[in-house]
Amino acid sequence: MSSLPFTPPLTWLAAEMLRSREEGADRVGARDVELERANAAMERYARGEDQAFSELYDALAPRLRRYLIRASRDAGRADDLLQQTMLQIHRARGRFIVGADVLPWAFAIARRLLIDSFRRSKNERRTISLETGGHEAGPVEAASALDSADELIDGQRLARALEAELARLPESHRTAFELIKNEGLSIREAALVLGATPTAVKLRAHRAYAALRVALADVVDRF
Amino acid sequence: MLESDLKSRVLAAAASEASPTRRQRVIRSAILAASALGVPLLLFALVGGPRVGPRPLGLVAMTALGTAVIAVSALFLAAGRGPSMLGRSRRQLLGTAVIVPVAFLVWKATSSSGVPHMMDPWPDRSGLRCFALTALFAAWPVAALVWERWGSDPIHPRALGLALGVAAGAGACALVDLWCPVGHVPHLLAGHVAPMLLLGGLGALVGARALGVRAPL
Repeated sequence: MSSLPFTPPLTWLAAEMLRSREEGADRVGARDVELERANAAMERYARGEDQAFSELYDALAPRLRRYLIRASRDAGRADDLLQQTMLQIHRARGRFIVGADVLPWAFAIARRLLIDSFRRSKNERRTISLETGGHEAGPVEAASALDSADELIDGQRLARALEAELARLPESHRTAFELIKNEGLSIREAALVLGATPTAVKLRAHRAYAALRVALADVVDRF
Repeated sequence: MLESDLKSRVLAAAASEASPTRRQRVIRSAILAASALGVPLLLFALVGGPRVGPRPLGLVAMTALGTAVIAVSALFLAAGRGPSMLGRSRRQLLGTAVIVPVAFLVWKATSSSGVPHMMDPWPDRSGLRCFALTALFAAWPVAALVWERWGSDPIHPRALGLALGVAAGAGACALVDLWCPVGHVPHLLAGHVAPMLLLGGLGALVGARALGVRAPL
């Protein structure tokens, strides 16, 4: 903006729109290149080229890890799940279909393992709770405890409130929102990961977005 | 953990565990497919093979062609994955499981209704033998299909198991139809459609555990 100090407002607006569109196109282009790299590496790995697994890891792991950390809020667990996801891909390499996209498949495996992991730890917690007669606060309860007005005085706390609101959403809505907004998957890819129709995924993401907007409006008002 | 450490750990774990390449898997799949086709045919030959009975040969050929088309379509829809690694959608799998038994019943009843007395009741044929034969012929194909897709579905393993069971049942029904002359609807429901549904139910039960992607315990 400072580089265009004397530009008439309409020209400036047009330039901003063009820049935004170009940035968007660049982002999509970079993402496509990354996906192509992952697909090519998976194809070579399926054919038996063992060295391609390292390349496949480099192409997939950062995005999967980011997703798993965000969803589990536990870096250790995310790392274990990432390892399991990559090993599942390794075991199933012979099944890889020529021309298929590896990314939605990898995300679907990661999500399934994450759900199983949550179920398992929930059962373990229940067993411990039954054995000790104790009570452990769930993530929503823990997050709610943080929602006091005093705690929302800085950006970090606001981000925590956002996380808490995300945690309150139904899992299918939250995942649709995260896959599309955070991980940059297309609606079609997110639909494949979630085993739903693109229309349903679009609706879930929209509902999650609307719920967050309402919830965060309240938070900002309190702030 | 450092990202480089994690990568080293993952690569080492993968290197220590053998996994078949696509070529090796295609060979294994071809052997499984051949056995899934061959074993029921062998069993069918052992129980006496095709039996025309009072049916005109044209009717036998027509119903056999129709049931074969239904069975092949069911297998294509249930066992095929299409262009995606995530396979068919839940809607397609459930649709297959619902439409195939209905299509079989409608085709058999419609083709039999065109020939006099073909839909008459056969009091001594309740459908138990057809039920047992369908289950017998479908047992190995359904096991082979589950084996082939073992631990591969991260989204809807239950729906996949259901569709695989119904598809294997449809294949068995195509064979039993060559043997059974009865076109009476209650017999068709009890002896032909019911085992297809039972196999689907078993497939769904087994599929939930066997077909889904699972972390090692």
